[in-house]
Amino acid sequence: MENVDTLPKLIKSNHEKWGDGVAMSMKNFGIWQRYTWQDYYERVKYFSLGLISLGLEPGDRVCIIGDNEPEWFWGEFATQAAGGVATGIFVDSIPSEVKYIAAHSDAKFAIVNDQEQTDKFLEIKDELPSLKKVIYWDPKGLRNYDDPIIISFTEVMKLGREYEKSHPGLFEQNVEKGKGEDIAFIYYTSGTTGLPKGAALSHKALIKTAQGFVSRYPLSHKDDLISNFPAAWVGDSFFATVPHLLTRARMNFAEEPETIAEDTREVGPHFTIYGPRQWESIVSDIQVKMIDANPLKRFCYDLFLPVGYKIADFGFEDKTPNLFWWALYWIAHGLLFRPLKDKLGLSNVRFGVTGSSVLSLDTFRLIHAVGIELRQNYAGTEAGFISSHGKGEIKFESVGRPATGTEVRETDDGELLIRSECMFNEYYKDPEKTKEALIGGWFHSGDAVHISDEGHLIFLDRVKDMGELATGAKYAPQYIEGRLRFSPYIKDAMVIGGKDKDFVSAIVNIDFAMVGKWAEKNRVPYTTFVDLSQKKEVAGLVQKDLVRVNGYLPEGSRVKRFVLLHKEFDPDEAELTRTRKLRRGFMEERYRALIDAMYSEKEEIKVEAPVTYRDGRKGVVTTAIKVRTI
Amino acid sequence: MASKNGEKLHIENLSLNFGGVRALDDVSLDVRDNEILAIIGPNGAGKTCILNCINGFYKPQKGEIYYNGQRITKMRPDKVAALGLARTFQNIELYTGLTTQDNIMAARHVLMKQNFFAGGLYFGWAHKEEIEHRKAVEDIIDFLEIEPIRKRVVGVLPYGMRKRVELGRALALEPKILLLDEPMAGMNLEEKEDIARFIIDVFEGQGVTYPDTPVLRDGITCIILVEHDMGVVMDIADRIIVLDFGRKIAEGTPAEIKSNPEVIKAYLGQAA
Repeated sequence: MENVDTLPKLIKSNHEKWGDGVAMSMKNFGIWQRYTWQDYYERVKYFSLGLISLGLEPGDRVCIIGDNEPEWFWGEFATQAAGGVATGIFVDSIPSEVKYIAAHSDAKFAIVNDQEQTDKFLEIKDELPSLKKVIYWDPKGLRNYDDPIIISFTEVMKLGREYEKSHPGLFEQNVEKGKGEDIAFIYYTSGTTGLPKGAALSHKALIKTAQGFVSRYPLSHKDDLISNFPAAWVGDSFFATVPHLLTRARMNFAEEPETIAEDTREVGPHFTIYGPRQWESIVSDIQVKMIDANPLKRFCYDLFLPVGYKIADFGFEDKTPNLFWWALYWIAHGLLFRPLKDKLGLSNVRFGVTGSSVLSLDTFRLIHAVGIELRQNYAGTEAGFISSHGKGEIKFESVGRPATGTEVRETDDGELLIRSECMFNEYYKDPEKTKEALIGGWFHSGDAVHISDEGHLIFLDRVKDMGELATGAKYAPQYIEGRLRFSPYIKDAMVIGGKDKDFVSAIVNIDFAMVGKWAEKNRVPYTTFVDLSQKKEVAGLVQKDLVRVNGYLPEGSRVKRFVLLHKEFDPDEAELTRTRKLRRGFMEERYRALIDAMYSEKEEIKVEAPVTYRDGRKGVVTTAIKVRTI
Repeated sequence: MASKNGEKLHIENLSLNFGGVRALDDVSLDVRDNEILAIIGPNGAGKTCILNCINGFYKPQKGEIYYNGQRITKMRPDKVAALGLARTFQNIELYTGLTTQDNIMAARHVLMKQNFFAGGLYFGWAHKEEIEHRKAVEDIIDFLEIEPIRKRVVGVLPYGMRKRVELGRALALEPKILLLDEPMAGMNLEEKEDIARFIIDVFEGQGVTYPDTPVLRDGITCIILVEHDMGVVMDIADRIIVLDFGRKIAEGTPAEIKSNPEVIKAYLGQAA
């Protein structure tokens, strides 16, 4: 594997050694359609040659937007094989976001999924001077489009086949020419702060990161993975795509984004990595379904869940349970946990992984209790794979030990610095930012991380987000929010504080489905989300959770006042990033009046919120919101 | 009477009474090839009655209906369907106990040729035929983007989805003329946009996307749409016919209809 230092070389070597092995499968027309490494290689090859025949030159950028489907990845590797640089755009981005990335990267080609994405590009193509072709892979609805800029994926492959006749061996030479140091992909970071930055990663960084990952989480060609991350996100490459190339673990694609739960259950992946919010939604799903389940099932659940917790606790303390507990667990497994895991599509999971932000303790414990070895993982676009739990060293509070080959250091104000071979090369077209982040070979992560005596990393918060109140008390907003989100009735929360404020307050999003169900059961009539969110009874319900979380916190940093927001936080309105992280600065500006009201004596405030509808139109919603005191 | 250039359906002096109620009063209209014809009008104007007469549910007392020159007045509904006229209903008429795929498959049975024994034993080309038709059903499922509900029983589906399944079933008949009775009634804006898109896509045909399913590949070049939502009608119809109290009061392009004083009167009432 010594000279296999680029992703296209990995594909070539897999194809040479295991051409008949199944590499990918995608559900289509209700049946799993398989692709061997041979199919894979040929598609990459001819698409790559097709791109060259259309004018792709080494170093050119190609942007890709679409649902996770094989063509997304063929397009990516074909670009890289020709010496180009790929970049991804999140599939639900609106045209202005698409334009920013396509323009910033000077993309020469756009590879798009379907009519929806094609339309986005046709809308903005006049403002993208370097764009030569828009290549779509799903022709549905595009039959009567006559814009010469669009061409189909299969058409490009056909061009590639023609091109090979006049240029035999070109593809193989191109692949050989590739070097590990070449830029493979530009990942536009979700941008919790301002405009997205394009982190350029080399083949080497991607492969090293994935190797580090696979050494902690061994995968093989017998394993199935499910492609469920946004492919434009670095995590997909780190933890799914590149490990799939390295280990030949099969990559499975759901039929439609809406069928992913069902299709995951059919595949039974051996490894899952979800963001905290997905794990939390799995847990709240279990809880919701259990409330509705028949008495016998509820009885089993209430009886055996504590057994799971007990066994999980043995695991955390690195002790072996005695025979009695083993026997009980065995019964619990057969009657409760196995069927439960099957329903969630997690039967075969050897390890579950979480990352990207803080997962609440309670979620973590419940997943372990069900019998899934959930490990924390800590990685960053710029720094690659930083750390994770290893076997037998699972601690809630830590994000694990640094990966092999990763050096870490803590600065005086608590910021984590990282140095490894997995790091990014630069922010594309932004040497200023690069200089700020990379100093003397150390990457400044901006994360407040404490390194424990055992060498574990303990993630506190982003350095700039660790709050301090006027009283001098410190508080960690993400921690409180994570805890609040664990309540089945709370979908999201934003915690507010600061040096000019005497206490901590919170803006809470109720979980409409759960609170609605609760209201029905308790005969609280309501009409809409807005109405439900302002009900006195609902405030009482949420307050109970706030009081519970306050119990974990020191006196000075408890939440004193809160409001229940009249709408959900929405990525379409830029309140959340596409990976569902809060954009605090923006939110504080947007809800300024609401926040001021919480720090005054007011009991109620009228809010006018501008809303952006899916089709891009804007409107205003006026609502009276009540401020509650705990 | 022979079909004139591009005329698919010809309706002549149609009258329909229910006792003393005059549902249709001497209505004549033509439906041409290559057009989406919309029939609009206030409640009770007789829009659905026309569709019911065309596909044989109602027997008009007077008047004639010709399809490609062939007289189909008072023909049995199944015979009309076999000629290539498929429809959807205002109040969804699906088999509520069957799944989405079975509902759509049910329409394909009209097109199957296997006999009772071969089908019963699921043997030889009965097997092959089943697979062929199943493929067409999958194409339709893919086209209408109803994969997530493929195996769900339609009785539990939300209204908008059921409407979509019904459209799927109508398409599965491989019709030459498609009659849609308020396909967007009771839907929200987003669902309406989806259905409008599907109607246009069916009308235009999808070419190579679905090479083996003629109805999607070549499209249905003649669609009759009964609809209340004026916005949608103005956007997608080529020609509009307006009914009021069983009479045809106007006919023309969307622009003409918009400014027609008769139509405005029928919809908004007359100034006192």
